Amino acid sequence: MDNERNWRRTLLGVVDTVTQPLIAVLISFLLGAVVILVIGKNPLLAYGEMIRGAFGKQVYLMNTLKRATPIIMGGLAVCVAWRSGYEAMGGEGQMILGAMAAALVGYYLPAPGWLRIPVALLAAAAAGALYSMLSGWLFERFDVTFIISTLMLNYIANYFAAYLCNYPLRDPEANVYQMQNAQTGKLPAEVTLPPVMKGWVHWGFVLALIAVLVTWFLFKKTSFGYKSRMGGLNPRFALYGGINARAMLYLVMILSGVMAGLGGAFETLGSKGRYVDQMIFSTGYAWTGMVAALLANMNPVGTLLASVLLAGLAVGGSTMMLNMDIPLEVCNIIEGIITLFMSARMIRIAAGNMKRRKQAKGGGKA
Amino acid sequence: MVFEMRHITKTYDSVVANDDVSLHLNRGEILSIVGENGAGKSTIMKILYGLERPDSGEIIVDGKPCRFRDPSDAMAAGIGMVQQHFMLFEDMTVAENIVFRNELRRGPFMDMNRTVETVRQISERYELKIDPLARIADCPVGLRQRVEILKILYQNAGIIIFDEPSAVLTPLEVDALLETIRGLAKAGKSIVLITHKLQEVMAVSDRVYVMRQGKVVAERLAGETDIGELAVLMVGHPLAHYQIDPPKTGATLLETRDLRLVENGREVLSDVSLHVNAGEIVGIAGVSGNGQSELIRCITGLEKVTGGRVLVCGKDMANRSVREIRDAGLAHISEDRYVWGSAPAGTLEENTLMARQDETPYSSRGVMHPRAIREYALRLIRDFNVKASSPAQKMSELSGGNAQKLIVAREMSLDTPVLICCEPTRGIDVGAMEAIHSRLLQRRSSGAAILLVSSELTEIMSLSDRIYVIFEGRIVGEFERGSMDDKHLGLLMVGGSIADGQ
Repeated sequence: MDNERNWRRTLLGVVDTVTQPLIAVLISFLLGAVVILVIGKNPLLAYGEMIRGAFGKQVYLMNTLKRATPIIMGGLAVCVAWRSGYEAMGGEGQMILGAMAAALVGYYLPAPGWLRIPVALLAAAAAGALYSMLSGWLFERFDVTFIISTLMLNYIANYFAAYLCNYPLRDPEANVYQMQNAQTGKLPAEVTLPPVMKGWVHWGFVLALIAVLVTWFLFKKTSFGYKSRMGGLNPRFALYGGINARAMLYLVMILSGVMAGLGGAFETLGSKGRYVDQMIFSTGYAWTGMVAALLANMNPVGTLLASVLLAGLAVGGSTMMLNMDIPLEVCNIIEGIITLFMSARMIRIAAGNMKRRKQAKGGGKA
Repeated sequence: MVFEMRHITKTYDSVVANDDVSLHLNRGEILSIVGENGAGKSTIMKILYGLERPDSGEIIVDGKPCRFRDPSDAMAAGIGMVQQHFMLFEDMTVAENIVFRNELRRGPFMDMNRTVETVRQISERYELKIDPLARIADCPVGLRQRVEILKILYQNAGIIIFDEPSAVLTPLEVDALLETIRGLAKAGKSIVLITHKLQEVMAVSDRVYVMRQGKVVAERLAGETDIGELAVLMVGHPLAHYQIDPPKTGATLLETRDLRLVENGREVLSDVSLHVNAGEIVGIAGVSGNGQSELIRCITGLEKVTGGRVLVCGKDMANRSVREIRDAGLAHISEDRYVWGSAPAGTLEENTLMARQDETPYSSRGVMHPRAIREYALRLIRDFNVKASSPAQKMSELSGGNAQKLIVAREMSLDTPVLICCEPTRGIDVGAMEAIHSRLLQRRSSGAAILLVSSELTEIMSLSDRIYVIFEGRIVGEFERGSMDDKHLGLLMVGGSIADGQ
């Protein structure tokens, strides 16, 4: 039981968890290369261009990090819930309500600008948490599977936000061109999250980094993390050991909702400066976050890296398209294949969770 | 000899369901296979009926070696099985169900008249009265079972296997069934009856096999045995008693009063009252499935009781949370180490920490202290001789015995006044078993109140100062150490009375 063996065990563990996603990413890029070849371009040059476009210049890198911000938060929301055994997919709905809450507080709160930002963030966190608790409650009270409730609630949130920004809260001035999506009023400059430095990404990214650290700390260092992990690994064992399953359910759902809600707020306050109809739904931030979390096997730091990678794929893809005349769809294909691989993982985890929970609910009758 | 099974072995994952089982059936004979739940009696018959395939061994039917891929192969060889769960179409008639898959046709159509006539003939020949045109949905359970039997007779099977046929029947229906079984044997059919109800066995069988832990442990002619002997064979012989000092008992630390549990309208526990004093080990003896698991879940807070009280160290803890009950002074070695007692995918550290995660020095204000947690895990591993390579390895990497030792270590180290101990040595080797037993005796002499549940009569008899016998959710007897013998205990466990053994 010496230290060297422990160390080797840890290393092997890391290699083991990292190999599978790395292979998935590699295969995806290889298949992407085939597509590029078919189009008649050089895949090496194309990927070079993509990497340059994502990370090669400060502007590009900052663009990537900006795009990564809501993805990271959506990923953390998934990490928190899934690691605890709840296959919630409500990040999108919670993110939409968070984005909308931040836009409303930022625009309408009769307070000085410096005060409106923290209140907007709090409101977004609360909106996400409450919405997430709703699916937790549906599960506890009526046995509604998370997959069903959260997916349905995502639509409700999106159409509710669409209604708000199309009718009662629509900004009449902004919508000069008919083709534009409806929007809420533009936030004054002092109510937006400013760039960290001139030419840098906005403060939302830094807050997301802090969120990663907080999540990592909760998972690794607190008894909350321990209890939630035990509940995820074997709910009956957690029950037997005296862990309050109900309290854990709500704590986990709240934390997950807070992450997603804040992700929406960062996008509103740091990037768009208002709520624009479909701004979360059409970009698929929450879903990309879920893929990132799955790639990272629910590790918060890994989720951060995967989020930046996936954001870079989208941002670099546009450069590749402009400079090499390769359709953006190539990037969609690559991301699609990664998603496909990760879906297999997702289904496996979710099916396992549901089975274990069912047993725990049914008492000892396995 | 109509069939013979030689050296059949069948394992599921790591569990040996059948271990070198050999048995045979004579023509016109009624053979019973008895054993507790999980003894392997259903598995061996599923193998004969083609529902499971053996890992090794051979099956010989009518002198020819056979290999059944599925039940239709077995059926073709003349073997039929009445399953516990009937497979009938609710909306079809009795006759339609009986001829299903072997319909009598006229051209492309089913010949209804001939079908009904044939069914009526079989029904009369074997004296199994039935209305061929009744709908299954309108038939009571006893009649449905009769339809299952007729289905097998229609297919001309010579060997009929009954799997726990009386489990679903009322007492009157059971009498009718036993009559039917006798009649079938008289008509030349060979019968295998799988059951754990010994009264039925004695009522109809010619010969009996007793199975225990996957093995055939005894073969008896019905005329040469009695319920008492079979009961003992079923649950195991007591070993030599441990050298045990008389108990120095103190205050009552655990008590249940009129504990009731109703599940889905069925009374699982009826007025269970028992008590355990400081410094004594109290055993609960019973054939598994008679309410022991539910009783323990009610005491430990894993299940809500319907009525009655559970007192832990004098405080009524019925229907309180597991946390509160544990804090009141109770630790619990669970009956199934991987289902309840551990997280197999978690590390040893994580598994030893359970129930202590909010205690200093393992955490303070919600922040965990990894060093203390690791040292605690190492201490338990060392003190209980758990063979492990690192506290960071996964629980699932340990052997069953070592995993069990770790769980025992965790719960014993909580050092609570009350210790609930369920099947502490199930499926582990003798060495680990003795280590766990001596730990239990240590806790006893240091004044703990220990409630021991085990389906191994051996274990109960050698460790307990007092024994309660549980049958169908009721306490049917209470004995002091030395005042009972295994035969009487065995009788009570299967629902007999002391008088039956005289």
